[in-house]
Amino acid sequence: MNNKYLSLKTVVAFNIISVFLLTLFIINNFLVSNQIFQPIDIRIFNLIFGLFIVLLNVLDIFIIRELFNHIKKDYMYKLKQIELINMREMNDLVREQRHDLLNHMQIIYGLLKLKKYDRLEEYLLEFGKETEKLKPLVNTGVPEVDILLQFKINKALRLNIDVDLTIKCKIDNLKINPFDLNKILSNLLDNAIDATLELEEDKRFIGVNMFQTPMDYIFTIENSCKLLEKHTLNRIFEKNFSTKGTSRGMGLYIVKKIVEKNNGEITVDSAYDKVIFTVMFPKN
Amino acid sequence: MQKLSLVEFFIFSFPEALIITIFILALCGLKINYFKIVSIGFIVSFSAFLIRPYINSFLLNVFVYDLIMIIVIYLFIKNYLFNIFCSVILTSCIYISVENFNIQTIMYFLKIPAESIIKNMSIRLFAFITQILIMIILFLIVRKLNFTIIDFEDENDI
Repeated sequence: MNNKYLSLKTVVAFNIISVFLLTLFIINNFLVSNQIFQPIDIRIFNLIFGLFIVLLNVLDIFIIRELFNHIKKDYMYKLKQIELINMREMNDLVREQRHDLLNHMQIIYGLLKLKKYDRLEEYLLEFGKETEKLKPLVNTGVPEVDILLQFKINKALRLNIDVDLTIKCKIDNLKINPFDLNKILSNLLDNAIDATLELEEDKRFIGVNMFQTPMDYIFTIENSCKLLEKHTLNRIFEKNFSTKGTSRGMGLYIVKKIVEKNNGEITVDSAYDKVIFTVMFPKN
Repeated sequence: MQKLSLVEFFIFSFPEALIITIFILALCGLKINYFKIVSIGFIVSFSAFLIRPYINSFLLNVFVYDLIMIIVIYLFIKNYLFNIFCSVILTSCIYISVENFNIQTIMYFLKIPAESIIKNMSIRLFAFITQILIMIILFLIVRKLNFTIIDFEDENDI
């Protein structure tokens, strides 16, 4: 991080000095033409000056390259962090399943021994559904988004939330960077999970849809929730506004800011027992 | 360069250093008391006043002036050397650009040569006042819109 700041500072310093020298150079030329405040041999001054400006500009190229390398490394580091979180989550799930597997095997063996085949079939069916949760589901075309969605879906499933994921297209033409897109989806999905957890288990539902029109990519995230009043919906993107209590209410505000920063649009709708957030981004 | 008289020092150099100091501090986002601002302005302008007769080039004069400004402000603030450095250089660019633009405008509209602006005290005063007014307007814009130079410690970007 310190290196990044150092490079950034160097770039700023070099640029400021370049601008300063260029300004002086131009103004000095005006003064030369009027023979004001000039040494006797101005040519040597101009030569040194010109060389210095060229040198600074050439050095600027290397420094900016170095800076971009730092930014790239920083980006990769963040990406690895997301991957690591997801791997830990998956690892926990696998360990949980392995722990249960022995118990399952014992029960299957017991049912087989007792020749209770109907019960055994029911049990295996239920077991099959449980293991489905570990199947990789997501393929949006953006690995960062896949990881995030996989992670959030697993989290929701473990909290006994029914999840419906529909991806009808692949993202291959979107201008927004994956980090911003992840911030948006992550905030919306966290909110959806929090909202559904307030309901009874059989009413918990989250739907994630992704599709495209000729002009836009559209993401919708819907979830079951308690009935939201109209004035709550109208204020939902306001800073510090929250239905979850004080010192909250930054998530959706930040989401809206990021969406607008990327020329997108976000809307919210509510009907009876569910709320739907729709995010649209123009294709690049 | 021509030696300034004490009257010229108090009419031109000192107010010039004062507005430059205020502008630099605004760009830095630093707030210090008026006594310190006046002290910085006085020390810088007086140093420039003393050194000026020994420098025969505009370029060298600007370099020396900026160097004195950086050292004096840093001695008063005792921190933020990089920010002070950037602000001094930027302010210097802005100031001399405004000065150049101002003189060119006067030369164009009043149809007088640059030499007259330097030699004729009333035209010089007029040019100086308009320049100070422009700098004050720019300073107010910087202050109002909080145009401080980059804060490298701020990572709370959205």
